[in-house]
This record gives sequence, structure tokens and C-alpha cells, in this order.
Amino acid sequence: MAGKSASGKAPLESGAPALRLLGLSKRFGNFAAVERLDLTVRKGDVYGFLGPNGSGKSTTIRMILGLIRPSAGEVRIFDRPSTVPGARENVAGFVEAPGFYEYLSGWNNLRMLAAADGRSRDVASLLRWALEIVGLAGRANDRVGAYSQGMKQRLAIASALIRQPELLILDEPTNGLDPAGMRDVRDLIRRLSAEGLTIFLSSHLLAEVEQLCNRVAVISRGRLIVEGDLREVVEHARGRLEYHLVTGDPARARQLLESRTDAMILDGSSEGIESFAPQDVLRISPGEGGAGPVVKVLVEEGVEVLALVPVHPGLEETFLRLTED
Amino acid sequence: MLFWELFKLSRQRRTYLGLGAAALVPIIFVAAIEITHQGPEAGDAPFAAQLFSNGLVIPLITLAFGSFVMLPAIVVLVAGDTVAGEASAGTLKTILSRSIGRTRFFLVKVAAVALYTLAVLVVFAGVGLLAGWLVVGLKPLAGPDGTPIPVGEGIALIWACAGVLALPLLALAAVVVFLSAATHNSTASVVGGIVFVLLLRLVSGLGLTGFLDPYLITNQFDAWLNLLRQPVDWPPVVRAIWVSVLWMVGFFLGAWGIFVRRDILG
Ligand SMILES: Nc1ncnc2c1ncn2[C@@H]1O[C@H](COP(=O)(O)OP(=O)(O)OP(=O)(O)O)[C@@H](O)[C@H]1O
Ligand SMILES: [Mg+2]
Repeated sequence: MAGKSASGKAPLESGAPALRLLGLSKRFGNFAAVERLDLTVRKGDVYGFLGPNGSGKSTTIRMILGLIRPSAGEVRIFDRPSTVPGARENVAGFVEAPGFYEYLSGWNNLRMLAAADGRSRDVASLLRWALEIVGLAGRANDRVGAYSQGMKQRLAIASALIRQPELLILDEPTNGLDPAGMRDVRDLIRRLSAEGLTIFLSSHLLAEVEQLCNRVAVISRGRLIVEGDLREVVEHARGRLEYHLVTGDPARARQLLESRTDAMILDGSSEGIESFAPQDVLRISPGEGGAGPVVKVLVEEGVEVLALVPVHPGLEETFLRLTED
Repeated sequence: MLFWELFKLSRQRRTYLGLGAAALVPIIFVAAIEITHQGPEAGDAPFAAQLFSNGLVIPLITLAFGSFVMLPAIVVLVAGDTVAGEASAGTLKTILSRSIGRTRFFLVKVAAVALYTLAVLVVFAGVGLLAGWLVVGLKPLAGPDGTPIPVGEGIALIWACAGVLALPLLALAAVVVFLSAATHNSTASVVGGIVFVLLLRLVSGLGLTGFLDPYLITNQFDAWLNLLRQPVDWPPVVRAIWVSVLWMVGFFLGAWGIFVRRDILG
């Protein structure tokens, strides 16, 4: 990135994780918003921090950014405790809806934040570079109060970029963006990652995390549910397959499956399969042996099997399975 | 960063509300006495008897009026917003995610409030003096015991009075910055600051404060009047100085302690 070598930052020991949370907890009164959270973000990761509303994502990010004090546990940044002065020098990010001075222009907001970083040289070119990247160059002189939510979101990303960080912390970065804006931001995240940035981003959209991240942690009610490579986590969550079964005699098939196999008939009508009436379709979750025993029994008893279609649970379904008890 | 803090103040309406009021009140006062030819009775305000003959009296009388509620209220208005305004706008979390340390940012904010307080006083006394000069004209002041005070000394005296008034105003600013840091609520801090001033005035007026009375911050707002005696009555002035400094330092340290520890939510 521009000017990186001129920033005079000490070279970091390679191999050290970019971010580690160790037993991180935050209580508000008696309410545990985050509880004993452990996770490790390696250098170069695009790390998805996934959880439903109120699960503690923003609270965790506030602790990472030093805005609130953990009740217990530790944040380590590039292998240094975050309490060491200057530990966050290589970190930039924002939490929740970005807060800017509405009565100042976007440009002046960024200039002031650069001053708060102690940066005085080449500020204008740095700002132009960041505004160009997020596509706000044309509106930089307008008051932030006149920006749309999506523009504020972009300005927040620009404000993080002008710190020229090595670790970027983004709290729901596509929140409030239209589909084109979402695509822009996702493209930008991929590009920054390709340039070597480590990115930690929270989201409540599994689809977003699946598009962007190589690793993922899922939290629910302040607790870590699962952490690992994206593929592993998704497979783990999807668990056993579900099938849609269509036979010549649904009533008989249901009776046979219930008495002769350990397959489960799932309730609720399915979306149906093309060219079959929904009431003829059985949703089943086969037992130990998979779909084989089901077909065998039906064929032996002379029930015509017209279709047997494996169904992957959708991403939303997978997410709900992960985060529900 | 102080530059940016002042820049921010210069772009906010409430800043001009305070400065504008500080500039308008002396002008309105001069206009009123020119039109009605009526002013405070002799004894109600310093040098009231020379009001129509000497412009030097104008800033002294407006200071006596302003130091009661108006100037404290203007200071409270801006001081209450320091920390709380940024907390509720969500800018506190933005700026404290940067490299600047919390202590440094706090010092910058406090310095800006202090400069604003001084600016309000300078505008208030300066506009009064200017209006007095243009409308009434300046000439040597007849002192309380008859000794004439030359114009140059009279002007110096006005600024000395404003300087002695500045200290309790700065102490009040520290109290309100403390409220601002403790509550993160701008309205509560402004209202709390004004209630604080009125309440102290009330309990003191009712004689409920006993031996504490000379140490109330509100009772230092009038100490500068003792500079106008001949000879100057120093003890209340000296007391106003150290009492104000104690209040200032105490609440400043308290506000700082809260600011550097407090969780930034919202
Ligand atoms: N200051 C506070 N006082 C009390 N409870 C709080 C406070 N801040 C957050 N909480 C609670 O902590 C929990 C986690 O909140 P948090 O904002 O971290 O969730 P989140 O995962 O970011 O949710 P979202 O997806 O809605 O942004 C919530 O139940 C919230 O009500
Ligand atoms: Mg959140």
C-alpha cells in the first residue's frame, strides 16, 4: 500500500497470529454479552465473525478496538497484549454505524482523523487515495450530514484505510449498502486481502462470509459455537442430508418407512419438486445406511419410486442450525 | 489537534449562540440606556452614577450583570457538550479508535473549552468597552473616594476584573466537563450545570451554607467587584483565586479519571 515503507513501523515477527482473543468476556451488570471467547486470526486471513443480532459481535469488536474494557480475558494483537502502549498502531476499523462530524465535510473528517493519528506528512495524497478506493472522491467536500448511509459506510472504510493498517476490523461492513454497494465493498475486501491485509469482519449473513472468508467463527449469545476453516464449519453445520421422495403410493411408502427402516419422515410440506404435487412429496431424513435401505424396502414391496432427490439445507437454514440451541 | 478542536467549535451553532449573546447584550444595554435614559440606581451597580457620562462604566455594569447568570450559562452551554456531544454523535468511538491517547484527547478538549470561556469574556467586556467608547465616550473615572482614575488605568482595571471573573468561570467549566464525562449526556450536563449554579446561589442566599459559604464557587463570581474599591480589598480577591483553582483542579482531575476509564458505548 502507498507509503507503507515510509511509515516507520517496526517489522513484525512473522508467524505470530494477527489477533488472538483469550478467554475474552464482557458483562454489563449481570448480563454476559461476551463469554470466554477464544479465537485466533492468522496473518492473511479474511476472518468471518458470524452471529445473529445481539450475539456479542459489536461488543467483541469494541474490546478489540480498545473502546471498552474486558471484564476478563485478553486481546493480543500481533502477539502483544493490547494494553501495551502502541499495540493497536497497526490496527484500524470501526464498530457499528460509523460516527462522523456531520457538520464537517467528509474530507475534513478524514483530515482530522489523520491528525488524531499523528500523521502530518502527505495527508492530502493519502486521503485522495483512500477516497478514490471507496468511490467517494467526487463527494468529499460535501457535509457528512448530507451523505447517505451507504456513503457514510464507505467513508468509514476510507477512514480505516488512511491508517494504513495491517489488520482491518470491520463491523458489518455491508450494512446499509445497496446490492451494487455490497458488491463494491466485497470486491474491495478481496482486493485488500490480496494486497496482504488481514481482515476480521463481522456479519450476520452466512452467504457474505462464505463469499469472502477463509476462516470463520460463529457466536451465539456471547459464546463461541464453532471456529475453523469455512468449509469444515459449513459441512459440520449441514450435517446429514435430507431427501425429497416421490412414490406412486405415498401413504403406503410412509407406512413402510416407519415400520421397516430407521428413516425419519420430516413434517411440513416441502417446496415440492417440479412436476409433482406437493402432497405427493415426502421429506425424509434417512437413517444410518443412507438412502439405500429406503429404496430397497420400497422396491421389494412393489412401491414405485418416481424420484429421490437429495436436498442441501440452504445457507440460512445452516446458519440457524449453528446458532440455535 | 487543538486546531481541529477549535475548528469543530467554529462549525457549531451553539458556539455562536454563546459568543453572539456575549456580543449582543452590551450592545442592547447601551441602546437601552440611550433610548430610555434610565439605568441602575447608584449603589446597585459599580459607578452607576457616571453611567451617562463615562463609557468606561458600561463594561463594568454589564460584567456585574453578566456574572450573575448569563456568563455562567454560556460557559455551561459549551462545556456540557464537550464529551457528551461526541459520545451521543458516535464520534467519540471514531476518534478513540485512532492513535491519539485518551489523556491527550481529553486535554485538547479541555483546552478548547478554556479558550472558549476566555473568548466569551473578551467579547463581552470588549464589546461593552467599544460601545461605551463609541456611544458615551471615555474619560477619567471618578473613583469611589473621589480620586480620578485615568482612562488607561480604567481600561486596565476592566481587564483585571474580567481576569478575576475568568477563574471561577473556568472552575465552573471544569464542573460541567466533569458532568459531561460522567453522564455522556449533553442535555443533562447543561441543565445540571445551570441547576448547580442556581442551587448554590439559593442555599447561599438562604444562609444554609454556614462556614462553607465563602468557598462556594458561585460566591466567587462577584469577587472582582472588590478590585474597584479604593484601596483595593484584596482578601476576597485572593480567596476567589485559590478557591477557583481548587475547584478547577479537583473537577478537572475527576473528569479526566472518568474519561480515560469509561467504556465507550453508543
Ligand atoms: N451498554 C450495554 N448495556 C447492556 N447491555 C448491552 C450493552 N451493549 C450491548 N449490550 C447487550 O449485549 C448483547 C450483545 O450486543 P452486541 O451489540 O455486541 O451484539 P451484535 O452481535 O453486534 O448484534 P447486531 O447484529 O444486532 O449488531 C446484546 O444483548 C445487547 O443488548
Ligand atoms: Mg453489532
